[in-house]
Parts: sequence; C-alpha cells; structure tokens
Amino acid sequence: MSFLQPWMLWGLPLIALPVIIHLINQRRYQTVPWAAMAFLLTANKMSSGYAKIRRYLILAARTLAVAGLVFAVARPLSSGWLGLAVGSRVDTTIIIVDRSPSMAAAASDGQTNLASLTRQLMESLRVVESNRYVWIDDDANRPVLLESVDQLAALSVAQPSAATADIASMVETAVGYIRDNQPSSVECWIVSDLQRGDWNVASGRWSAINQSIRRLPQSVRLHLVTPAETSNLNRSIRVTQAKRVDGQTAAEAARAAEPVFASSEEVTAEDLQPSDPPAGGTRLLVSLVVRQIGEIDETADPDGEIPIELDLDGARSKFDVKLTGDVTEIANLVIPLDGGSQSGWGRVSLPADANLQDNEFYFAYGAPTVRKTVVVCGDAVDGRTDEARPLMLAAGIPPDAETVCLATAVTAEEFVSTELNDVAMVLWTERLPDETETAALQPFLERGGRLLFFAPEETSSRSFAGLTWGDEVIADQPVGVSTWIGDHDLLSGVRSGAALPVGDLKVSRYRRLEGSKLSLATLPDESPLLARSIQGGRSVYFLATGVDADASSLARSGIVLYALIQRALADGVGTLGSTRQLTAGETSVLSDDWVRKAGPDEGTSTHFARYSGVYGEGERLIAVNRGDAEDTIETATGDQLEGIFAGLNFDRVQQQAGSSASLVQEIWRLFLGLMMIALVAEALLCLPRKRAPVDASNSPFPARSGGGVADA
Amino acid sequence: MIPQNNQRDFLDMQTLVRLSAIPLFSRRAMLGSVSGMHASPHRGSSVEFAEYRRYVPGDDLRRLDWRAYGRTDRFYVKEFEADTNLRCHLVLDTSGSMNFASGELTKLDYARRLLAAIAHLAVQQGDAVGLTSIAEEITQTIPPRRTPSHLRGLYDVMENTKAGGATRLVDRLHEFAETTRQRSLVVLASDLFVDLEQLRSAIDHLRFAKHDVAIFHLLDRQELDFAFNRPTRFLDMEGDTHVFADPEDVSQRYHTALGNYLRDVQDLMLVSAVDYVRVVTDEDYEGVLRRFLIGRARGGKAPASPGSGDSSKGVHG
Repeated sequence: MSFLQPWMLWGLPLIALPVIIHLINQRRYQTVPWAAMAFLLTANKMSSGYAKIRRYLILAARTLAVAGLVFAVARPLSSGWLGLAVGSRVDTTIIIVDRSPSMAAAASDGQTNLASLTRQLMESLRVVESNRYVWIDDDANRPVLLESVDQLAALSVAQPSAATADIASMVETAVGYIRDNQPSSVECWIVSDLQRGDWNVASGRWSAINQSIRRLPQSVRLHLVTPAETSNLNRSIRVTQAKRVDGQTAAEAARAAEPVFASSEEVTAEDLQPSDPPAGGTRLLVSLVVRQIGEIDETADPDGEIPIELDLDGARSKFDVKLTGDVTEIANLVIPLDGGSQSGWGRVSLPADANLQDNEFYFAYGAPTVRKTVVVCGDAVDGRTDEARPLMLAAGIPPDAETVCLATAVTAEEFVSTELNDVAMVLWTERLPDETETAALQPFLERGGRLLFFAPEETSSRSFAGLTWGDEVIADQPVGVSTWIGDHDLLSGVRSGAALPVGDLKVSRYRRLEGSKLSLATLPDESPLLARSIQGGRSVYFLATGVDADASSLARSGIVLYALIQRALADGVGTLGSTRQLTAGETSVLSDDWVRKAGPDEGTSTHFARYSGVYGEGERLIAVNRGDAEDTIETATGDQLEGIFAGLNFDRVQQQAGSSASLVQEIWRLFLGLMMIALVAEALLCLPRKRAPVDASNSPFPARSGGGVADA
Repeated sequence: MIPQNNQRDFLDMQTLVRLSAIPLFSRRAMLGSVSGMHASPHRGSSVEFAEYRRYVPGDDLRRLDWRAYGRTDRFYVKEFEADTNLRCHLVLDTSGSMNFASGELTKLDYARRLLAAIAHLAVQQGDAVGLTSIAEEITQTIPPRRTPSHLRGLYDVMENTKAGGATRLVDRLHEFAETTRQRSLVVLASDLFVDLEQLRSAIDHLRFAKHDVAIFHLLDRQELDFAFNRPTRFLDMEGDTHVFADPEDVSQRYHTALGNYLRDVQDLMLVSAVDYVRVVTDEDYEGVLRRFLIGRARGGKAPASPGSGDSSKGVHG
C-alpha cells in the first residue's frame, strides 16, 4: 500500500496505547476491605474463559480503531506503485505521453486510450501534488514547463499524431531536463501502449538511459501507465504503391493491372477484385494492404467484405473488398486517371472501428521518376566500370516493369562536375571524399539523396560523417555476419515477413570503421559490416567490405546487395519527382512552408511532418502517413521492460478494463469505516451484561406468616 | 423510663418513643419469672379462661364453676392462662465482616441500633433482656435482667464492642443453645456469612430448646451491587486472604453466587420457621423494626401447650 502522507505512519506505535492503558489500569487497582469474600472466591473459581476472550476482543477492537485512524490520516492509496514516498509532495513531475496512432485505439470507456489515460493521469496528478509539472513535447522533443496539470488538457497532449513515438528519445530528454535543473525528487510518468515500434527495446539507447538515470543524484521514480487489454476488432489500411501509368499497351496494361490478392492464408482466383483495365490511357495503379486484428463480428460482416472508400483529388468512390485472413493485399488496383493529370493525391479509408487513426492512408502520385544512381569508382570510363559492375547491375535493374533505373559510373574527379539534381543515390567505392568532393555531396545529401560508401582498396586518413576507414582485415577463413538489425533500415525483412539471407553472407576481406556509428550488421569480431552515420542530418551508410569475389559474397549471392541498394535507391528517389511519401516522424524535413491539402486539422505547420495528410510544398505533393510498425500489435514484453528498467525505481499500472476511475484512488474512507466498525464492536463488547439485580427485598415467598421470612 | 444519661449514638429517643407503641411479642410460650404480657405454658391467674378441670380436694373452692355443676352434676374448676414476662437474648455478631461499610454505618453500627431498640422496648414492657456478643468466641455475655440499670450496662457493652476476628457464629450459637436453658426470644443480628447447613443445625438446636428465634440478616448495599469500575484488590476482613479481580470479569459470577446464597438462606429460614428479616444497611432501621414488631403482633401469642407444668406465679407490675 502507498500513502500520500506516509510520515503520519510514525503514529502507528499509538496502536499500543490501548494495551498500555489496559496494563496501567491493571496496575491502578484500588484496595478494598471486603466482607463477602466467599462469593468472590466462588466467582473466581467459575469459568473465566469468556471473560478473557471478551477482554482480548475489546483490546483488539481498540487497537484496530487506532490503527484505522492512523492509516486513514496517512491517506492510503489503492495501488502500490507509488511506493512509500518520503515526503508528502513531489518536486517535479515529468509527463511523457505516447501519441502514436496505436494510442488512438478505443478504450473501454468509449474514449481513445490516449484520451482516457491522459484524463486519468491528470486526475491522479491532482491528488499527488507536485511543485512543478513538465511535459515532454514529442513533436519538438523538448520539455515544456506547465503551470498546472490541468494545462495538459489545453495542449495537444490528448491528440494523437501519425508519428511513431520515440519513447527512448523522450526519456533521454527527461533525463537531460533533470540533469540541467536538478530537482530534489522526480516522478516520471510514461503513458504508452508499449508498441514495439514506439519503444524499440532492443536499442542500445536504453542501456545508456538506464545508466544515466542511475547516476542522477536525486530520487527518480518511473511509472508506466498502460491501457487495458482489449480484443476489439481493428482494421488498418496502407497503400504500398501508388503509381501513375500511361501510354502502355493493352497487354502490358492488362498484365500490370491484373489484380492479385495475397493474404496470409490461401486465396483462390474467385476472390479477385474484378477490374477491366482499359486499353491505353492514363491509369493509377494502387496496391493496398488491409490488416485486421481482434475478434471478428460475423454478424456485422457476414460476407467478409468491407467497403473501402477512395478519395482521389476530391472525387470519392467506393468498392468492396473481401477480406481473407489477417492480412489482405490488393495489388495494382486500376483507377482511371484524366490524361492531363500529371500528379495528384488520394486517400483510402475503412469504416470506423476500434482505432480510427489507422483507417485511412494518404498517397500522392506523379509521373514516374527515373531512378538514377552514380557509382564512383576508380576505373570508370564513359559511365562504365568493371570493378564496380555488380553495383551497376544492382542499381540498374529495376524491381518492376514500370520502374526505370539508370546507373552510371564516374571517377572521383569526375564526380565534382556531375549533375546530382536528379540522382537518387551515390555509391562510393573510392577513398573517402576530400573537401571538394564533400562540398559537391552536401547539397545532394541535404536534398535527401542516399550515399553508400564501400570499403576502398587504399588506406586513407580522410573522414566523412565522423567515420574513418581503418586497417584492412583479411580473414583466414571467410566469416559470416554475426548480428544485424532486421526490423528496419536497409537490412529489414521483406514484406512477407521473411528475413534477408544476411546470415548467409561470407566476408573474406573488410576494413575496420572508426568513429561513432550505428552498426546495422556486425561481424564476429564486433567490427561493423554495415554502419550508418549522420552527415548534415542525413543518413550515410558505410559497407566495410567490397563486392569483389575475393572480398565478399555480396555479388555472388546478390540478393542482399540488390535489396539494400534498391532500398537505398527507393529512399533516395523519394526526394525527387513531384511527389513524396513520408513516414510521419521519421524525417527531419522542415515543414514551415507546407500547405495542408488534405487530412485532419492537426498539428502546427512546423510539425506537419508528424501528422498524416497531404501537403503541398510548392509544386510538390507530400503524403505523410503513419509508419509500418503502427499496424502491428507487437508490444514490449514485461521481461523486456524489466530489463530496460532494471535497477531503477519503476512500476507499472495497467488500466482496469471498464474502469474510468482515477489511477490513484484514495482509500482512507475504507480505513475510517473499519475504525467505526471496530469502535462499534468495542462498544458492544463493553456493554454491561444484563443481570437480574440482587434485591434484598425481592423474596419469592409471601409476606411473613407468623414464622416465615420477614420483608425488611 | 429511659435513663436520662443514656444518650448513645445508636439510640434515637424519638424513634424509641414511636416504637414504644408497638409491643414486642414472642411467638412461643415463654417461662418467665414474673407476670408479664407473654403467654406461659403453665396455667395461672390471668383473666383469660383456659379450660375446665375436675375438682380435686385441695382446690380453691372459689374457682368452682357452679353452672357447670348445675349442668353436669359434677364439680369443675376453671383454669386461667398464665402471663409471664419475656426473656430476650440479643445475639450480636461481632466478627470482622460486620465492620464493613460502604456508607455511613457499618453493619455492626446498624446491628447496634436494632438490638438497642429491641432491648429498650423489652425492658420498657417489663421483659428481661440480655446480650451475647459472638465472634471467634463469645466475647461478652450479659444475662437477661429487667432493670433500667441493667439496660445501661448493656448499652455500655454494645458501645464498646468492636468487630474483628473470624466468624464462628455456628459454634457459638450451639454453645449458646446449650447454656441457655430457659425459653427465650433470641434475636440474632448478623451478616450470616457462614455455611448454611451448619447454620441450619444451630437454628434447629435453638428451636429444640424451645427458643423463639428471630434473625436480622444484615447486608451492605455494596455487597449486593458489587459496583466497582476498576480492578480491585479485595482484602478479607476476617483473614489474610486477598483476591485481585477485575469487576468486569467477576461481576456476573459474583451476583450469581450471591443470588444463590440469598435464595438458600430464604429457604432455610422458611423451613426453620425463623422470624427472618433481611436488612440492607442503607434502609431506615425504624421502618425495619416497625415491620418486625407489627409482624410479630399480628402473629399473636403462642398457644399454651397441654399438660404443661404448674402455672407460674408472675408478679404483676
């Protein structure tokens, strides 16, 4: 049990007061000369068991009454996760709220989990008073000092955003605030549904956070508030591809337009969505993924079909989709376009369910962009190369028939004069760029192009993005990749969930990489095989080996090389063209000059990149949507939480299903009631037992009859 | 009648004057030395006709009933009841328990008032009164006398009597019954904290000796109510025993034991035909005595037993 005024518990020794008074009373006896001793002795001989029990019960009732009063005055709380606080008032309360789309799921009280938990948190914080309240604004990832806890309602705390929450980053911000302001005692409240994408418990940042909290001189208590588990049905929709196609033959259009349904279960051809692609003409090919989680109401959707609404540049239409299984994919849904429209935007949406945030998805389409790659290598002649040929192939082979990929090879010297405005990716196999080359790369990186360095043959002391190639290591035997990050970034698994065969790679020759970096793949000696660093706010990748056959099996196996290059190329090409698809919260692009074209009226212009919708940046259309992780239900487990908060003062409170009560419930009334019951019991036990008074004149016999008893 | 210099704290003249109107009767025939107001087992020369008897030579011819001769042709003489005086023995329990008091008066003080008033009434009506004080031994014995000076001496003894020691009431009553041959009115004032079976035998002994027994059973209000509100150490007033008890615990059982005892006492007194008066010491003793005397007066004189001895020649006075 916890108490708001735990120092009142110092009064607990008072429960011994009734016993002490009883003992003193026993000592304070009076001495009386007594004539009728015989009756006293007889009374003592009689059984006194009941009298002893009664005496002990009276003492117990009095003790309980005192204890009940002491506990009531100490203001006990129903939950034990506050711990026994030393001192009745917290100095600083830090509030971290997960506003990711998953938090918009409906709670048992009809509100969203975000609104419900935020309201309950505010009610609880009004009880647990604090000198200072600080809210970590996840939009700007900065602490915001609140005048009172009620100010949370005025802020956008209870409004979900489309961005995946970076809980670790917000906790780091909180730790930084504590370090800078040195409050005496801190209560840190984290409201989250523990979705794995928000927590990223496998990240090494948590270990650093744990250590930094331990090193803090003040007492820091962490409270995690999670919503109640529900099994409500929730469907999400995501557009995986929106491609504008025009001028194709009927056969190519028919082949491209043949919709393919794929799900996690077997599907027959009868499940196909009928569509008749017109011969030629401009079309929009949209691929969708519909996921559903939770218990399915058979009566609501007896046919298993749901309507999907399509909003294309303001024109709405509907079509039904038959769902089969947890994941239903609709590939290349053909939507006729006006031949004159070069670009536009659209939105697909599902009927309302447990979570409204994942029921719609925005997309922007435009004329297909050629995916251009520049390969910097030493033997480049007329745009060709032999040494880097695998790279040319990987970058030049498009993933589908509609995509056009071009790759050209240049030397480092030629690179300076190479036009990079329409280049999506640069693959650098030479030594790290010098100052001139770095200057040429800078605008490319700022624009969002992707840069990937391969380990050069020559050793150089140059550095880029804080990293420097170290010594070359030639392994006696080819070594495999020991660990790699497979849930996001360039080596993540494929859409079906299968992992890339990174573990099958063999590396014979590699270079060490010195500097601060994030390892995406690691060799057995802890050297990074693939690492990421930051240059000018943009990600730069370093591959510590080459594509030569004597360096690694990257070119021989091909799949891993092709996947990571095409992914980097896709990321880079996203910055080109008239449209962009952004994941909310994952980009640091400035949105001050964005204009909202579609989407809910949420967020400020400086933070449009965190809210779903379609925005216009000049002539370019930018569609911002939630990340992939928000469509899954994987959450951090209790063991993982225990791991990242190991050694810290941490507790977790889970909202009770169907309960809208405050997280903190004072139960002093319960103890007051117990005290009253104890007092009533004590009073009943102390009531003198009714006894017939011994009346000397009360004779059962008649008045004296000349020889009998005389009444006195 | 009351000696002028007999002002004692246990004597209230006004009360005695009021009680003087009520005679003190005996329930049984007494054998007095002089003529009195009480029935004698013998025939005497009172005005109350008793019976006829055949004339035998030597009888006083003035007592012949000629009407009876006229009716029966036989000579009969009239026999008349003999009135004699009363011997009243006052027995005062002076054991240690009689010293208990929760109010102004101890049981001994109350007993003194009762017995002193009875003594005064008896002497006033020409009866003899004596006093016996009983504790572990018979501490004082004053034989019955009728004179006022004897009464004064009796008062002196009462006044100087102190309570103390254990109660050996039963043995002393047996002793008293053995030593007191003449029929008497025995008035006992005691708290009767004795074994009732033994008390029964003592009372029967007294009744066998043809004594008229009256018992004033004195109880203090505190002994009845047992109104204590905190743990108390009770010291026995007649010994070294002491009991430490919480009244909350023992009160119920004490009252049960006391109630059983009082009920047994009542039964005993009823069976033994004892003139039993239970007195609580916070009552007005005048009322107690008044009811006692009136009750005796209503009960009337005891009839003369047939074949009794010669009538006593009482002194009328």
